[in-house]
Amino acid sequence: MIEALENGFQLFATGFCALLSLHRARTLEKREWALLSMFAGAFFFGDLYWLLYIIVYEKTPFYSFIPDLSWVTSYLFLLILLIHVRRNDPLRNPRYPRALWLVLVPTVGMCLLFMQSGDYISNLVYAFFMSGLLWHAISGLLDMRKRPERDTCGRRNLYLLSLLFCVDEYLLWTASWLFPTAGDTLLNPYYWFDAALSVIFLLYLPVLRKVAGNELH
Amino acid sequence: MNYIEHIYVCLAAPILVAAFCMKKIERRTVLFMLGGMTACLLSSYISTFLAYATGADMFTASLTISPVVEEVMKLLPALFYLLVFEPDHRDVLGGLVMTGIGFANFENVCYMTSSGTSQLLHLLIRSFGTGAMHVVCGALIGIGLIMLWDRIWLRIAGTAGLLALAVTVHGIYNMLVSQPGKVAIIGYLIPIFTAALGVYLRRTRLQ
Repeated sequence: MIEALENGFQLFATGFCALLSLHRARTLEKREWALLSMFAGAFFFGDLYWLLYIIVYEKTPFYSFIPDLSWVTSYLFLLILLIHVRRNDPLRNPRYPRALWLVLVPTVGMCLLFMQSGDYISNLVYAFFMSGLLWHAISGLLDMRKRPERDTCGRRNLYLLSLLFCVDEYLLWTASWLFPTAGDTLLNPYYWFDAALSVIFLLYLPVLRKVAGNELH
Repeated sequence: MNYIEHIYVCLAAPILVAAFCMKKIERRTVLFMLGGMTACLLSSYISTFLAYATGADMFTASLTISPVVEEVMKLLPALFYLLVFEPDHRDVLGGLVMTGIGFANFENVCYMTSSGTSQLLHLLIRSFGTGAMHVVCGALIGIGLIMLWDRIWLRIAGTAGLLALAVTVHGIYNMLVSQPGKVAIIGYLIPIFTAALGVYLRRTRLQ
């Protein structure tokens, strides 16, 4: 029951985010909204495939690469969005600090951990995209240091939200890895992290509104 | 020679003859349609091979292997056109849609000849559903590409991403229409919903 409710909430959140950002992409003619729409839309379709498969066949897919493909695509579009926003920031630091390479420590570490029970290729692909997302979210946040709020044009919140998205995804996967048989109860941390992910999707709407609305280029 | 090649020759020959008699734009349109039919023929070979190689049964293959193979194959004619002829990027949308139409036509004819024509209503629903689905998946990639055209890295990443999105939509469709009753009807409605979305996006022009 809790799993069904939580899945329904996530489908609603991602679908709502995709449709509203699509509408804004059309009316405001801003690429940021189109990219957000693709990000949320890809995640929505991955969720939909997974959920429909469970409903129709009453089991999880034996080959899960189609929903995996969709979720990885959503990370790709979020990555493109972050790169696009950062490139259009006239005050950005064009050089990346060396300390950013440290993002590989958690992503590679978690990849090696998940490889113990999962397949190698999908874990490597997820680690690659998560590294990219963390890299750009953190470098964007570093750009915002010592900058007054009016000069950030809402970018700080976008980078922060993307960082939260990555952290939440890792918490989600870790909860699933640590407690695979935790069951359909509120005590299962997986559902809490998954619900938080849905809220993050909804938060992208007000956050991107400020970024796309105050474009400087 | 198997039956599917006979159908292909019968359908492709008049289209090929017509293509040589047409002018530039009409010829391109007809050749994209032929490209879609060829992609469908090749997809059936590749899907069968991959199903055999991975040990998947026909049902699992139709849910997991076919969507990937078919969407990749459908993209190839337009990709060839883009890379070799370097046209205006807005021309690609029409090409992708025509490829989808050619693909759906050939698939429908093959389905009809293998499953019979006794149930006209089912054939009608299936033809519209499949036709709309292939066109919608092609248009999804085309419209997305127009949105993400101006930078090379955006084009490459966008094409890969939109292809994956089309694969998932195709996979959801295949899963639903393989079920009996209302579930299949929902499956047939998905392309109609996405077609409406496509018409909405068609009017979108991004900065």
